Amino acid sequence: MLSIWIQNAVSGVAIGLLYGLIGLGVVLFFQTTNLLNFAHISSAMLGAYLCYMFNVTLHLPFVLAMVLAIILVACYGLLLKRFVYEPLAKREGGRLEFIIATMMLSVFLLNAVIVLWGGVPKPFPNVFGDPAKPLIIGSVAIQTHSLWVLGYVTVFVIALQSFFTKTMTGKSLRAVAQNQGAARLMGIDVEKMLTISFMLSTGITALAGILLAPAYFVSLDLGGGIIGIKGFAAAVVGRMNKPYVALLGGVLIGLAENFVVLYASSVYRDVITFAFLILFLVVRKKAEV
Amino acid sequence: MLRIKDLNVSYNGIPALKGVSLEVKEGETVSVLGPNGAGKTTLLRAISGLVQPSPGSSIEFMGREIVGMPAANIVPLGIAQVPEGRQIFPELTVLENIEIGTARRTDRAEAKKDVLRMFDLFPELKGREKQNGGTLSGGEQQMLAMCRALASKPRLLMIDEPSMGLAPVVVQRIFRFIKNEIRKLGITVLLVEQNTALSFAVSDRAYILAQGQVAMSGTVAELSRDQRVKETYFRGRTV
Repeated sequence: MLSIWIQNAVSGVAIGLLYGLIGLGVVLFFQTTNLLNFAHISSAMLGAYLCYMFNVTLHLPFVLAMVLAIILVACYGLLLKRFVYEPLAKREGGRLEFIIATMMLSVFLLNAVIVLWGGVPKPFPNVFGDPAKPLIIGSVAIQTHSLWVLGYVTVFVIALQSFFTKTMTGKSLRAVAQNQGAARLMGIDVEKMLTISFMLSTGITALAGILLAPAYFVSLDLGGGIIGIKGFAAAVVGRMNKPYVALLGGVLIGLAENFVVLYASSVYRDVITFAFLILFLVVRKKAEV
Repeated sequence: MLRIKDLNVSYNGIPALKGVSLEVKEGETVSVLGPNGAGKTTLLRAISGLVQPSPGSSIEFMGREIVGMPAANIVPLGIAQVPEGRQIFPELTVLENIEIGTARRTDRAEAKKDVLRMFDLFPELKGREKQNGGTLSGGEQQMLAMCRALASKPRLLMIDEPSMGLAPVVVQRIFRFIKNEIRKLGITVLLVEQNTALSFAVSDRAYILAQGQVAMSGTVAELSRDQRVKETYFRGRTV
């Protein structure tokens, strides 16, 4: 029994970290722009498909394919700012306009992917080890994918944290998130910081999408619905202003899912997970946002 | 150093500043006084590029027209502001708050040293470097806001209502700092304050704003002798 517990805990944490990464992207974006991007999760899908294209179709090494995909998705974030956010901001469009525009964008992107790659899910190459050959420690079988995810996310979080605390750009981004007016008075180019946060949040989500692909396939599932909602839920656990709590929130969701499957049934996985989240929001002391 | 001519600013068609002209010479400390809503903060916001003045307005800094320049380009010219209500970054550490002041400096090595020098100007902040800005008391936050602005190495420092909401002892500390230390650093000061006695004590000249216009101006000595100023701003007290 204990070994099953450990197995579920490890894979729950791994998948949960990826939901958390999506939520972290939501939080970073919300903090600087005060907006919600309803096409946020599309970046996960774009990342996974682009990585698949570079790695499988164009035969590039996986790490290079991943980096290229993340850079391209971050560039898409730049376009998103230039061609959706800026025109709306210029016409003094508010949050609602941005929400509707990005909602439509997410549908557009789903269909664009169908046109380019077709609607049939593609198996992601076994770059994180063969799922049929888990790592066996005693009676515990651990998917190597989970370990790779733990590794990637750890490295990424350390890099992100040093960016935020060691570089002037990172500190300026935090300053903009905390008090935009004062940041402007210090000469910080707020427009530039907004651009960076568009690129950062889309890039992070692309990374999450690529790492999720072995579990969800390279599929349209990565670009809509349930996974996106889990990312938003993780962000809400982080009160929309604590990126690392959002990451933790994702872990909570991942663990809840796995243990629901273990003790109830996979049919009820999302039902129970979301019921749990709603309960969490209801009983929490202070409402936010 | 700073020459403002016929400055007009309005918010959604409602005028806040109406034809304000004002001059600050290098090395001076000049106060802008006036009741709430007189346009004092708007004046500073216009200089910092946070609000767009109406056409025809002119703000010249070191002989250069700065109206229309984006806010981000104003600080590198040597204009810093300590905003009303301090506006420090609550979840940046004390050290990071000051470092943000150097965000636009290109002399990184010198900027780093300047950040550390701030702790000599305000020893009260020593030992608090790693603490979040939001955990400081109001007075300490005011000191931090001053350090943050000074770290940008300004030629002109604009200070908005530094006495607001602070204990008298702290207010004295801040104003002594403005009078002595900032002068020693050779920085020109434009001070906005509601407390007339305090601002007269540290300033060379003053402008009195009322309803968006300059109502009176002159040296502190002249203004303190003026009967109208005495009646309106000192309510019978002697300076």
